[in-house]
Amino acid sequence: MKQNLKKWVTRLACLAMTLFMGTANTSDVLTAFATAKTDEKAMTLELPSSARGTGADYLEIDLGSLNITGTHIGIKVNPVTATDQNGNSPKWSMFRFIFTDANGKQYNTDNFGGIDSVIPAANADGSATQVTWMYSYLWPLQGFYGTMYLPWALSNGGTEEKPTQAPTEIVKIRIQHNSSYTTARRHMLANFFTLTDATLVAEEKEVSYGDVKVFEDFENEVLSVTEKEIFNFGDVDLDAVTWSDNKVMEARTATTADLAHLEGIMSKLATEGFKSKYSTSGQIFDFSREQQTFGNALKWEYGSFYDLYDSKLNSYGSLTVPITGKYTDFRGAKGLTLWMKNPQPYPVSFNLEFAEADDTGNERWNLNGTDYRTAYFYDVVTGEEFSSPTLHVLFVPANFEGWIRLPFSQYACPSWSMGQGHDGIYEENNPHTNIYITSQFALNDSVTMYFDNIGLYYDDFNVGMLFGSTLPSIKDCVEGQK
Amino acid sequence: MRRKLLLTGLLAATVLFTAACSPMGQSKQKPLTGIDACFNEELGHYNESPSVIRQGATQYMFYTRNETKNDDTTDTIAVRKATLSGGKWSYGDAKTILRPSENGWDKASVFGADVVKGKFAFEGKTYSYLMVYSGSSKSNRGNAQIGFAVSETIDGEYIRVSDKPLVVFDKTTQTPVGLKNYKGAVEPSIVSYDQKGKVTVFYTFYGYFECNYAMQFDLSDLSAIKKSGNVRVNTAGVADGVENTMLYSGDWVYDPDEDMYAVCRNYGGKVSGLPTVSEAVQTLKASGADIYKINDNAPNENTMLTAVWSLYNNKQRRISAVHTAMDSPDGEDMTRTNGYKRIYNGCIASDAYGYTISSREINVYFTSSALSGAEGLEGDEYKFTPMIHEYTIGRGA
Repeated sequence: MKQNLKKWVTRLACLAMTLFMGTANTSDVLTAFATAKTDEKAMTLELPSSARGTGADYLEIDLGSLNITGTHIGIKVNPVTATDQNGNSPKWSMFRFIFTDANGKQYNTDNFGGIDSVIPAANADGSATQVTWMYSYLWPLQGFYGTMYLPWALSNGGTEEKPTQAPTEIVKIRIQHNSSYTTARRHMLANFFTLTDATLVAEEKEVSYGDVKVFEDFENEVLSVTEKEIFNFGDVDLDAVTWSDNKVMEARTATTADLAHLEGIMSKLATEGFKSKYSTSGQIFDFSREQQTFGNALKWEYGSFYDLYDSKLNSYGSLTVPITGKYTDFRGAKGLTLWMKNPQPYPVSFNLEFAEADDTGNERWNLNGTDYRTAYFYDVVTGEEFSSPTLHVLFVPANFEGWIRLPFSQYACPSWSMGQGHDGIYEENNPHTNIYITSQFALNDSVTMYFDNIGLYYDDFNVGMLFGSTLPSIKDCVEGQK
Repeated sequence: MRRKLLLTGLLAATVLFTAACSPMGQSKQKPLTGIDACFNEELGHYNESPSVIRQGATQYMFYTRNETKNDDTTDTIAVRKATLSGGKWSYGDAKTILRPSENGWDKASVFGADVVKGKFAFEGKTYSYLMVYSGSSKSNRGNAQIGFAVSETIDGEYIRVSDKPLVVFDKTTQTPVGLKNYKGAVEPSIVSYDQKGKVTVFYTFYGYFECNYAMQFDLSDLSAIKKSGNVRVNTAGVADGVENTMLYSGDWVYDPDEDMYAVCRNYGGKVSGLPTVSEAVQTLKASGADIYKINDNAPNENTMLTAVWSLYNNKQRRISAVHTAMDSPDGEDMTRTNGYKRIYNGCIASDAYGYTISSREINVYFTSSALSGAEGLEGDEYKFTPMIHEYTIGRGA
């Protein structure tokens, strides 16, 4: 059913693009379905390890005159590697972009108040992903090869409701790397390919089960975008670029050797590409996808606690699932829900946290910041519905497979959250930007967990009672039988 | 005057001590340090975890009793019939109505029973009374589960309806190690839904975590039992220093006129010294509409769960030692001004369906125990001191 729905959505997206493009020259159009080329031109930026920078370091490129008519500017990049001040390899690269219009006015990637957010992106095979947008920088993962789509109206601190007067013509682009930021770099290597004038098709995938609207189903998604290449960094006259006074980076036209690894990235995208959408932190766990009841599900695997626990890291592993589009607005929803499978003959535990962006800082909501709360379960194998207490985290019984509901009333902001949720979860009209699946390694030694269909539910319910309840069961809600 | 009182107290203590150390052939009595017990049984038999069904001037008290004197591995369910005369209940002899099974899941212990009236078809007969009880294959009552038994008459004997527990507790599913022992599923309390075969069983769950659960059963046909899953009872407002704590060993009665539940629960956390049971019981009330309610607060950091439980009587926070002390004991036995230091596993007298008898007051029956080493007790003798007492609480604001 899910697969059929996916095909239907894809077809709809294709249709929408065809209608949108009208008479456009199809040779100018790079649809999301295009096969990526690994023989393309690029500019390579490198921070040599011998020249660690002391601050913001940029180069500025004269673009001539480029017209922006779409909703987004596409920036195709490939951060290859980096090394931080401690000699470690950070997960993310970090670049700030500043555009200049014909009047000399600058438009930058400073986002709204330094709040966690993400922008849409596509891997080189067209599969949808996201890139973090935080602290004025875009943070593509190391090894990312694809296009980041910067919402043009949101540049320079604008918002959807209050956009800056983003120009239709730009003449310069500044690429800034900060080598003495919080994660200062000793070394950095990245390839820059193209700028595109892009329009993202607003069609959003709809996956729902009864009163559940799913915003993460761990399936392949193709980004619905129409775009036209307007600039190629491989064509830049590097003698004509402007460098910052404290220049430490070096630029060159990418060589065959600089791009040789892209073939490998392309071959891995088929199986590993979906990972680029998610980021992980804390204790090490493997995650992959595996076919379960509803198609692909996220498979989380912890190894041996005694062999792998790293006391230098947080005691838990965390996987960040970005939320985008209309699903960032939780209003009207009663809580979070997900499908989960615990194949162990004993309980496993996790926390399903979320972030809400507000003016006082990012609010983090979870089941840890409060006394015992209640989680609600529907086991699709046994047909049994039940509820049980959380104990700072959610415990999933042995061999459980089915739906779990977590009413928002069971959530609170833990003390370490930057924001403290004084205005509640959905009364502020603030976007909810990420879901975090976290799991304590010590409680989950060598376990496997499956997650799927993370979403919002909208109906009041009760777990299946035999008598005395007027509310629908979870089964009724999920099957639309209420 | 004070000196006289002191001397009198010392004399009373001496008499009590002497009595406790009575010569061979005389029964050693349980130490009375407060109000009378409902009935007396010699030291060596504990009487605990009562459940009381009242039918006019007759009532039946079901309770846990060790069948063999001074042997705490011989749990049984016993019943005593009482009649009301002159405002006092007079109890008859104990009758054992359920013993541990030969070799089943409850082969070592049966305890903490409750009984409800209804219509329960089983093996070609319709039975009028159903017992729900905790059972264990361990003599220490560990990893307990819950089962049912039926009888044609209220005072049994009761016949098991299955060789399997109806509320299962599997210790191996509690933790990855699967070796630890837990209390399990204990202290069931049963309330009829339709005065026929539909019932709600409330019980206390002690596994990897602890909570109160309710399960609904349709027991009209005991060969085809229908049951719900575990539904966690909303305990918001239950407090004893810990907010929203549990209804430990709660006994439930229901007032259908007001759609209200009243519960008697163990109050407070663990205590130091033996026995490690509670020091008081507490009675609370909640609307029937609220006990399964999913809290619908718009949450934020400062919002606690909305309380659904409140004291049955605001002026009676608990029944503790001070409430069980006698002001003017007969014979000026000053020991009885102390009250009981351990008060636990109480119940509220109900009708045969688990419904309240009066909307103005409740009759609470609770277990008391002497402390280890107190009142001249030796060794494990304290284990065999539990008695059952009555206490009436008027409906508060």
